[in-house]
Amino acid sequence: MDIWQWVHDIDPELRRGGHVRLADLIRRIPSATVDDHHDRVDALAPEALALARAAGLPWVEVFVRHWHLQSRVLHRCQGDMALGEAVALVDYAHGEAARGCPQAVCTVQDLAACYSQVDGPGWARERADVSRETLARIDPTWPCFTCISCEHAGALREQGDPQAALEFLDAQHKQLVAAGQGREGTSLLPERISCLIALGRTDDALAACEDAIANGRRDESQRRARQIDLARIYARLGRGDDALRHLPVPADILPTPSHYDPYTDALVHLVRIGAWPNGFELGRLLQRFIARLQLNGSHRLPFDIAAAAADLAIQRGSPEVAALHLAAMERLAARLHRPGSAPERLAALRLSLETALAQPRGERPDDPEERLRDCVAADPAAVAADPSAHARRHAAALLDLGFAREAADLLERHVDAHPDDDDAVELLEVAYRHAEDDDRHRALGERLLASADPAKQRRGRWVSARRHTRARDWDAANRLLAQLAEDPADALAARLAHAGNARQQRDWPTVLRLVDEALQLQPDLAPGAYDWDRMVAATFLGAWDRVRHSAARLDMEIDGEGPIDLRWELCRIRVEHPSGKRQDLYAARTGPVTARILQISRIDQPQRLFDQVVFDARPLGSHEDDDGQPVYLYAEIDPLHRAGYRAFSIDGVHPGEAALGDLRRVVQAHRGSFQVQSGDRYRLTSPAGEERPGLYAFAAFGPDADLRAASDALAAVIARLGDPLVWPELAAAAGDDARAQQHRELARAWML
Amino acid sequence: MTTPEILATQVDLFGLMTVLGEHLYSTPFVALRELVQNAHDSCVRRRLEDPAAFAPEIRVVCDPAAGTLAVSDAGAGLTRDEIVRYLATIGAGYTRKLREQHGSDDLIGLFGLGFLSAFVIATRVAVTTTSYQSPDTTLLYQSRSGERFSIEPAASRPVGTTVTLHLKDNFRELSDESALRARLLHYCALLPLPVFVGDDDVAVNAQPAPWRVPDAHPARARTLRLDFARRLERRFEPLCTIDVGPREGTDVRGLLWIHDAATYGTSDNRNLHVYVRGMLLDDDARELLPPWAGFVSGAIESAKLTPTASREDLQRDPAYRAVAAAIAEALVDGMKQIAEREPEAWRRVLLRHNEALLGAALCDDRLFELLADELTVPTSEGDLPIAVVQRRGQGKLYASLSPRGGFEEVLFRALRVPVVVGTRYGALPFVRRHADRRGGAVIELGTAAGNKRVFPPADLPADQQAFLSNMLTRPGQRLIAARFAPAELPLVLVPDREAELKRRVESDEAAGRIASGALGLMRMFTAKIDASVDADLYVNLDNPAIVRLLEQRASIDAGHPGVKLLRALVAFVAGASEAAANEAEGLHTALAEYGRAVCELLDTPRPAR
Repeated sequence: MDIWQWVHDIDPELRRGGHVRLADLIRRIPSATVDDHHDRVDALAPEALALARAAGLPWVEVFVRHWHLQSRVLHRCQGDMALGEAVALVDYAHGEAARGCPQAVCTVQDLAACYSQVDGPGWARERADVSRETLARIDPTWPCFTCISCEHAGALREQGDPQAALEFLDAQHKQLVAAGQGREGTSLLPERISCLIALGRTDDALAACEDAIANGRRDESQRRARQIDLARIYARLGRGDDALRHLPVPADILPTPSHYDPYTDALVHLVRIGAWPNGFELGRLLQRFIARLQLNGSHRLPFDIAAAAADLAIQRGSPEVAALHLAAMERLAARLHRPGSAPERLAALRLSLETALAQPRGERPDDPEERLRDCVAADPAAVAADPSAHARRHAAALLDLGFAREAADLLERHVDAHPDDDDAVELLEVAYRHAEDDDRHRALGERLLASADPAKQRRGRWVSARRHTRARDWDAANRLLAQLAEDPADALAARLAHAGNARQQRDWPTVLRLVDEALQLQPDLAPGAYDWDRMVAATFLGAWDRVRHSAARLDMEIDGEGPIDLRWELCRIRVEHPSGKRQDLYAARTGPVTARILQISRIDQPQRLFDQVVFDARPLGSHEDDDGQPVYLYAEIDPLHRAGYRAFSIDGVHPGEAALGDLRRVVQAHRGSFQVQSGDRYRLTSPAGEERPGLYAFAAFGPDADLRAASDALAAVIARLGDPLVWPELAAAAGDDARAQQHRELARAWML
Repeated sequence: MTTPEILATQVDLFGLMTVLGEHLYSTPFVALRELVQNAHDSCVRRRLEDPAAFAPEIRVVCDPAAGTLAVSDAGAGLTRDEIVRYLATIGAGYTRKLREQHGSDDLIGLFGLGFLSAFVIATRVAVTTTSYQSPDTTLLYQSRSGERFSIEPAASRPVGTTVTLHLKDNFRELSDESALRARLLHYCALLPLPVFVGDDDVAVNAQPAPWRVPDAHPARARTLRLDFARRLERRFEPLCTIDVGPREGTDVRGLLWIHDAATYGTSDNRNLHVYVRGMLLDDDARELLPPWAGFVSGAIESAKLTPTASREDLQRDPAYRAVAAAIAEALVDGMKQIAEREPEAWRRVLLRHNEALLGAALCDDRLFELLADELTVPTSEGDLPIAVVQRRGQGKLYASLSPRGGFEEVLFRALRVPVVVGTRYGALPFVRRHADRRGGAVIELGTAAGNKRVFPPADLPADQQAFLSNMLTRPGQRLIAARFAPAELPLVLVPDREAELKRRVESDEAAGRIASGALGLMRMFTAKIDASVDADLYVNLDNPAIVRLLEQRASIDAGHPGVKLLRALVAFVAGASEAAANEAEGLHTALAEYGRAVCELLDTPRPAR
């Protein structure tokens, strides 16, 4: 069964059935995958899956899930991380719902690939069995024949027999030729290149690589993979310049972990021939590879890369970095399914590390690795004199080199012994975030909280409160901050942190109380963001004296007492309508955090004209007015006073400037506001087909306006005009049903 | 009249014509482009070689009745010798020689193939030419195939050349003046010499490229840019424009514009005109634009890009990559500037392309920073900015991957909290990144971690836990005491999907449908799953019915109608949560139990008030 033929056939079928979007998606997901646009795959896949399920198309569901796994497993090397989905997909694809699905075999390959990411050589025997089993069920006309053949050859190679793998590929190629599918043979080339490199047949590998570039797949992922292969080959041939010309820059391959291992191999060989500097940047790059792969639940690949990184570190006189890699490798080795050569490699590394550490310390450039070395080799007496400074310096050096987990380990030990070291605790939290390890972050907070030592408890409260704040678990965070506030040492900081949370919760009484308390505790506290928060809270609560107090602290003296309603500059306020839609409206600032809206807002939502609002004084942006003065845009927090206006549209043929002035005066006479919305480009066509300039305007009236009188007065202005202007909603609100009906009919006739 | 001299081109052209006609050039208009380019180079040549002043001009005239197309120039013209040497020898264009001599970047021609393309579309080609070197001699070259040609003296004409094509029937479209004008406008937009069509007084390329207009007033500059974009854009109204200027490693210059037409997230309407030495080389070089920019078109020029032999595509060399990188940079910078300086246009960009920008923000960190608070995400309450979703969720971002109308949606609607529709393009990765960068938590409903956040566990003495468990759970269900909103909801049942998977994979039936090797690998995984529990029952300690049940636990047993009603409710909420198949099967039993409980309550006399 040709899956691409199936995709080709199902496309018009889906489109006919109204599933146009799904048809587009099932074309885009594979191309985004093979072009290394994995963010896009993640963005597309959930929608495609939901559409396939809603349409009741199990084969399409298998297709989408399979391709999402291709991106996650084959390209991003997710091992343990993707195993659950890989197993579930094989189960689903072989179940009743998806019976006969042509991609069922591919889901088996996904599962095998997942194990190869976990531990390729360790699971090689099982992977070879599975691919043999699958190959027995298909023939060379299936497009997956070449993929599964490569998977089988890869398993043989990783079992340590690249020659057998090569012979197998030759046999498969013959089968393809015999079946008239000779051109598909190029799909076997990538694995062939790996085998030839493993066998040391570098010239043959170069020829195969050139063949693959000329005749093989041209997607971005394959293109980059071959560029890396070329660099590996040229480096082995001693042709450094050629290798460097082809090697992609690290930024291009970082999103795609499947390139990490061959890329490392290329770098190792480039260093060997002196074409790439063996400096700390190289070490940092490799450590990024290792950390990402470990997070993905891959064990063998980071083991191998760490081994290479350790050798390079020893070569450049950084045995301390090599020791870190050795420790990581020991942890990884314990998780391998079958260790294979891992124990010997560990033993060899231990030996060369011991030798390196026994050497006298040589001259090295002053770089982050050197700073790490200083920390490791620090004089114990000096460390004992200031253990906190030492631990922080050591952890910072580790973080700088990408060893976030190691930094966290070190700081955890330090914090257990020195719970009062606030800076170390905060650095530890940074390390957890770098290591993407929320579980340990939570555990630290809980462990410290559970301690009998009050100092540790206090630290635990801070750690947990910050973590809860970050997760927006306000109640949990605030409870801890309230406890902290009782301790004189934390009274101020905990109150201000709590006030910050209360600000986000819009709990204005709490904001005001806490900032007031903080200012009582320390009246000379430098003015800051909490003063703005306090003014917002105090404005809502009518505590105008506190608004004035904080304003004065911020060098804004406001005279008088009671409500503040001044005439300050023009600004714009971003309001949020009940529908969730936002609108930026011109407004006059009336105080430090208040403004009055001057512009009629959307008429399908409650009207905001002349509302007095409280805004967040951090500008969202600004533009310049005609005089070059900045007009700032602020976000409304909540209205302070609703003016209760209602606004209506006036639509139709432009009545000329004189009549327009009359309309405006009528509205103003009813203490309303009239604002033209349309420009020159608004044109209307009469029922007879003639074009006229149009007018679209809003008229807003206060809650006590006599709408009937206003509507009648407007009608009097346009009575003498030949062409219509209509305001059906205003007429209806005024209780004039006859006019409302008449205006609706005109609107229909003029297609308003 | 002199007898024409018959000579032969020294190449068998038959095969070459086929190659040109069928493979190299995709449309007959490409031949037109080649001829205009020759005319241009001829004018440049004259400027370089002829000290006399002249007004360079190119004019293209068609005659639909006669089926002819003529391209005239006021350039250098050709001598007899030059006709033989350059017009009739493949691959030996004079332009290349001239460029080598003068190092002039104004010259376009490259391969010496341009003139021959005329024979792809014409049955007969006539060239009348007067060289500046011999202004008194005018010659007429004629050929039917390019293989054999004649040269004879002709009636005198001013210095310059006219190439007249007698079009093949299938290429008569080239003799339509308006089509011709439209094409030339695209081809010649950046050509420095004026190109006229028919009797036009105004050249099709009279308006210079905006980046070549020095120091225009900002408002005028904006109009110029939009006009230029409108002239080149065939499908969309341009909404706003972005300049592309030279950056490190490239000489690229040009203009990009954003379409004023709504797109869906993955629509790819990218289009890019690429000009090399003033001539359009590729009118669909979309790959030079970033893949996320499906809502952008543009026109750029660069002398460093190298055309392929077909002259319609570009070589993917380092210069190409540098141009692509420069365009991506310019686009990101330009979008930032629009946001800052053209708020109205920016609002429209956001309105039109919200979905596409969600995807774009995931591809480029700077765009994410620019767009994080501007874009809306689809939610159960309509499209909302993340700030709104977050605030209505008390700082948390709830997201669901379940189909619409599920139990979660009902629950959150009751709470008036919007839930991000994670199944829509880009929504879930975008909110995840937002939370990661800006703080906050994404709670994915229906996942184990998400449930823990939605139904936070609460302490309950062991005896009360056991009591509730006895009253409410069935075998395989685990009771978790929790407190959650709304308090009106007494309990929620959440199935454990991994346990279900384990049951299926480890059943004997699986061996019948899955090959043994694969099944072995699957069971390696499921062996590690704890399947003692197949669903978690979250019981809400804030619910009055649960509170009452606990208060009266000493006097209540499993047969109490209140307990029966709650147990029936478990089956009902499980049914609504679409996945708890086991409970759903028990729905019938639950309904029966519910009915009996109601009967019992009805039969119980109400205490007198």
